[in-house]
Amino acid sequence: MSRRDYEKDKESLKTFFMEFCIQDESGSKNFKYSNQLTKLAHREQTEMYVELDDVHDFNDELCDSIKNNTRRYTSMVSDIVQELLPQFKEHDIIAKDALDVYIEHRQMMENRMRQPNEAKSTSNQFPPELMRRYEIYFKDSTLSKTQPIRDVKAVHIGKLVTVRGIVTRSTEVKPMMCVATYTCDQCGSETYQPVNSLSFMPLTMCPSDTCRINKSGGRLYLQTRGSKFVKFQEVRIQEHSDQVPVGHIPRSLTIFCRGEVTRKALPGDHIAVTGIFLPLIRTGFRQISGGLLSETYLEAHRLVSLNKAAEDESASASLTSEELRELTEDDFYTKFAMSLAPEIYGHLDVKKALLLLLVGGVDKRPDGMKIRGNINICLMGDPGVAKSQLLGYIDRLAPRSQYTTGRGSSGVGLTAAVMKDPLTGEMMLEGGALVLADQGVCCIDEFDKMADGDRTAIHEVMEQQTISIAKAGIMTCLNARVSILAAANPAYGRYNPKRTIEQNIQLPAALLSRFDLLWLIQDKADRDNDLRLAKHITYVHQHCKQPPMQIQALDMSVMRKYIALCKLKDPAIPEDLTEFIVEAYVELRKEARNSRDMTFTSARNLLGILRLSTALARLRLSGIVEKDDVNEAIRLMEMSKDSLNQNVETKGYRPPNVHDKIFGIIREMAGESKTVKLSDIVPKCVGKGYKPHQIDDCIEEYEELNVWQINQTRTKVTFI
Amino acid sequence: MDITSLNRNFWLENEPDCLELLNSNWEKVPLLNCNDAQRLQSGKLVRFRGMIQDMYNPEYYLEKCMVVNKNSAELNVINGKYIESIPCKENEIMDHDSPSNVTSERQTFVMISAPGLNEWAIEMESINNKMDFQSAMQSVSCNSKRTLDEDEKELEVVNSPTKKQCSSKPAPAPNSSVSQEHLLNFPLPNSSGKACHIKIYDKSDTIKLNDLIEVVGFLCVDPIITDSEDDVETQTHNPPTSLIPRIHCVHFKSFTKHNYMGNCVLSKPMGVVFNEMLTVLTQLLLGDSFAAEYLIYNLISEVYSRQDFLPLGKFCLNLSNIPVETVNFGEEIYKIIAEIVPKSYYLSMTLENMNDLTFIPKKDYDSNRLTSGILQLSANTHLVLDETKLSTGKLNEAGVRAVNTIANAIKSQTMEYDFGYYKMDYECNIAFLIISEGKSMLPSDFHVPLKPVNECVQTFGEIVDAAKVYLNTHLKEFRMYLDVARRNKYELCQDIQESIQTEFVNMRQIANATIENLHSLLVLARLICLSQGKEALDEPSWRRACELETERRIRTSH
Repeated sequence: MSRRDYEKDKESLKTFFMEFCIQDESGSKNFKYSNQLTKLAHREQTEMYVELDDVHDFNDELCDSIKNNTRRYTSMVSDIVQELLPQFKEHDIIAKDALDVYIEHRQMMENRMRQPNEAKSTSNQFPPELMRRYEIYFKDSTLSKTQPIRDVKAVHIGKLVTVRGIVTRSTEVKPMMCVATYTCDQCGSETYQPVNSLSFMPLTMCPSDTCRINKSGGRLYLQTRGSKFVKFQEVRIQEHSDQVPVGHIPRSLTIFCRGEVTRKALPGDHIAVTGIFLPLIRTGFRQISGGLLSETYLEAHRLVSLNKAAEDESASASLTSEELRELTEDDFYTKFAMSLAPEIYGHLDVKKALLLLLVGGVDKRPDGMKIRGNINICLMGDPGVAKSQLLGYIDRLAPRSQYTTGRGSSGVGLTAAVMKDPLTGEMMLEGGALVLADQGVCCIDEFDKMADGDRTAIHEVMEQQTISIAKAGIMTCLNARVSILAAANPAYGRYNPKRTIEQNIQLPAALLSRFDLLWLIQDKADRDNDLRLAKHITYVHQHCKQPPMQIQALDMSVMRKYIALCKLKDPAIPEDLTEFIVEAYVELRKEARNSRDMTFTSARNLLGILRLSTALARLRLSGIVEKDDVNEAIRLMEMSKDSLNQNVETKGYRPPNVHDKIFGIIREMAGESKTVKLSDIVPKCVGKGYKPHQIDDCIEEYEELNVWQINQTRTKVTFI
Repeated sequence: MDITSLNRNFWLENEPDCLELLNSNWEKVPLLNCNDAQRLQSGKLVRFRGMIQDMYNPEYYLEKCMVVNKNSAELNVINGKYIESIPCKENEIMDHDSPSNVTSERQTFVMISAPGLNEWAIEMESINNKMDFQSAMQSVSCNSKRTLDEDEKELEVVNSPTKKQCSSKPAPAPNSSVSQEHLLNFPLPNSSGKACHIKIYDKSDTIKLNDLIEVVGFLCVDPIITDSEDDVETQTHNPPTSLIPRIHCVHFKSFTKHNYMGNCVLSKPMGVVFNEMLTVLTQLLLGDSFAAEYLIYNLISEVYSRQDFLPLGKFCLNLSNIPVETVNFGEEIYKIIAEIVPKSYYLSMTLENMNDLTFIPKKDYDSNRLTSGILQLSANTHLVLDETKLSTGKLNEAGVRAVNTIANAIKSQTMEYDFGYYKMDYECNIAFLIISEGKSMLPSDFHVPLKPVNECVQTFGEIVDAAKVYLNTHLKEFRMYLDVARRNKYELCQDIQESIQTEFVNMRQIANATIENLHSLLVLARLICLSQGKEALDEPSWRRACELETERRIRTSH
């Protein structure tokens, strides 16, 4: 490979700075770089970013060359800018600090001292670094991807790379010597020493002509005021947990930040850094013993703090056409749903519902009112029906999620806590699970075991999607735009189909109605189903893998990407469908009234249907909700209701007669205690529309059944 | 060519041949585990067995480097592979800017002797591999190793001058601010063993944390320059070679299946040994043969496969209803277990231990390494948790976290290591045995309440003594048995599956069995087969599994 013609590159870069312009809509030209150069000349701006996108438009070959040998081009651009700057200077600038004054004086002195035609002495020349008051950085092209730290290898040395990671350590910002200035105690002349590494060996002997010729042995003294310092900070980043292969330790990378790049990150921040990957050349003793480039660092050019949302976006960008084709196959809705938690057998409708929860409906804000788009789902069921596994899977799949259990989290653990900072003593808010899962999924296991106080905190989250805090003088409202996926065990160990959901789960209706879908997963002995289940498990034990399904499960990362893609869509409901939806809702209400329903149908269900159908449209990557979406949404809702109601018919259910209803009321009144006063019972039952003789009959009937006893004076009923 | 005298230059020139030579002479390479590093020669091949404890950032080194001779201006390309640093002579300097320099990457792993390795295994290892440095010292050795010993004696003679030089070298002054314990970083407190840094040049991606491997590589015990002024990180990453030698790995093998027994063969049929073992353990478990049977299955169990996030084969046994008045039941049982399994650890779950010990490995960002914890154990380690030692009191935050981590490890055989800013899951394969008074607070796959026989409780002391005497003659057999049982192939045939499926359907109808029940039945059936030396599941074993589980369910419900 022939050596690159750097002189030519220099010329073309020069033209690039002078001539590169962007035309905006109005047609006027914006000279991006020459405008910046003017600012640099007037010291209104210190750093200039050369965007590789622009260089690429100008000369793509040059762009590649810059990427491969960035350090060289950095100093080249610095030289060019120094040459160009005087041209851009439009007016005199006022000295801003001591160094400016120094520079001015030096230049005046040089002009005064130097005889015309005298050859410039090489030793006492001003190093260019000393005079520069600007910094040149490159901004990586938008096309190049961020690399995992793991993939930055020996081949990247000297190249511009962009990596992502979490900051684990950042030192204080310290001044680092950039050019050391010395004065001689004999002849008084100044000597400069540019410093490029982390340490340097101070000069001691004066190299000036006078001292050298006279052999006066002038000693040099370091001048702090005349030297140039830059801000310096060392940052260490570590890989994100998702970039680490299973069973490996996350790798870390040291980053050196100089000048304007410092103070951009704190430990715990997620950052993206563009920089040059360089070996750390040790000086002195270590270098002799080493000969080993064991340490490397990244010289930062650009450091951006990321929030997690931005990261998710970048992940979604790359769905290959192959993956897309796989996703757009027929019936991919079913396929997708079956790919959720493939190790859990069956429950297709539940999985479909969970898929919609991951995709989410569309948020609406008509006239300042906020209607949530997030779908909340509650899974109920007998112990051992893999509820927790489903939750765990969703927690792993969702790009942003929190997993918690009702018992393990107090209200503070769910919402937010006010903490006292141990260092500063300031009060600060620390987000709980619901806040941390903002714009994601919050999985709450053992929902029923939550203390009452904590449950109230969830009411607000589930409808308003915010958390209001009024604690320790801090009053604020935090966003908690989460989908809640809850799992609950029935109160009596197993689900009792003869009781209502509230009684079974012991959750108030106000909370239950906030769930768009309630699924009851029952563990019922069913010959066919059990046989299939047994086959499934024996297969797993035999072959140590999933039995072949009709449909191959999708890869988790593909699913994540697709879901992220879905979330970009905002489907609308067309006018002509509204009629249909309204009718369907009215029908649901009517049904609920007429049949004995364990659930309730309210206006929230209507919103639920809308949410589900928009989510279905999103899943098709469509902008418009279709009739089929609505039908599927209603079907899911009905299936979820059926799961709660179905057992009633199958078990030869006898509709409760008057006596049963009265018994129910008395039972409720008794609550924890064993006895109920008759004087309390009568008004309550009468109030509910039962006749006194019916009450007496009921009491006698149940006394005969030995359910309770009534005392002689007929004032008290005691349960046995 | 003698494998022990190979040097780096020869290896680099004839890599394929050397590898072949190494594979046929693997056993002849001196083992660092039981030989003093100072006595081995730097720059020669050594072997080390152990667990990967931590992985450092990759190192960059000059694979090819141009060296200029100052006197003659002669240019030389030096290969920097398998060596700490480029060997430059006094009159040579490196040319950093030469275009013929090639920079490559190598991986540094921290390797420690397998944690929890029992004394007998260490002893066996050293009997088989100890090098005879002083001919006066008689070493007990297996017949098969006789020739090896002779070879080593020869080598001894050749190497003696250098060796003396080595040993006369003063150990680097302990001027560093970090302690030896900090540098060695063993998971278990008070454990002996060795640690070393291995540098792997290729295929390092296949190695995972906590893997057991055996490496062969060039030893480096050359003193390095350490400066006590350095920060903790530099000191941790460059410990004195006398304490932590470096090995430049040329080849490595997985070491998970090693049994520490040499090439012994089980002389009796499996069924006979099973019965013998059952007799001893029945006595030790206070006359409860039912529990003893479960204990044997626990000893041969392992996670044999993972299917997504479901570990197959885990067998956490909870022996409850231990009569506490019998002194130290847990410790006595553990002593016996430690005699027959290669790796085990006894954790007395006292409040202080739970609160104070470090259980979970944690990333230490000051020294940039993974600080180990008790739960960083390699595959097939038996962890005995003695809950009878637990007293009432307050568990602090660390204690609660420890209990949760253990519970999680039991349930899913994974463990979350603490990386400060996030946590990461690592798979583990630990056989848990919980000994408790009532049902343990930790979850378990198989809970067996003990039914102690009164006479046995009273004579427990004598039983233990008798068992020890009995074991003396049967130890080797038992160790072999456990290893063979675990190693055997196992298959779940198509024809037996039918009957399993119908059985399950019936169980669902009658007892409302859950999916977990079927999983445990299948695991148990597998272990029953393995314990009897059968290679495929048959009807009687399946029946036996069902019987055992039914019996166990009756016991737990009472």
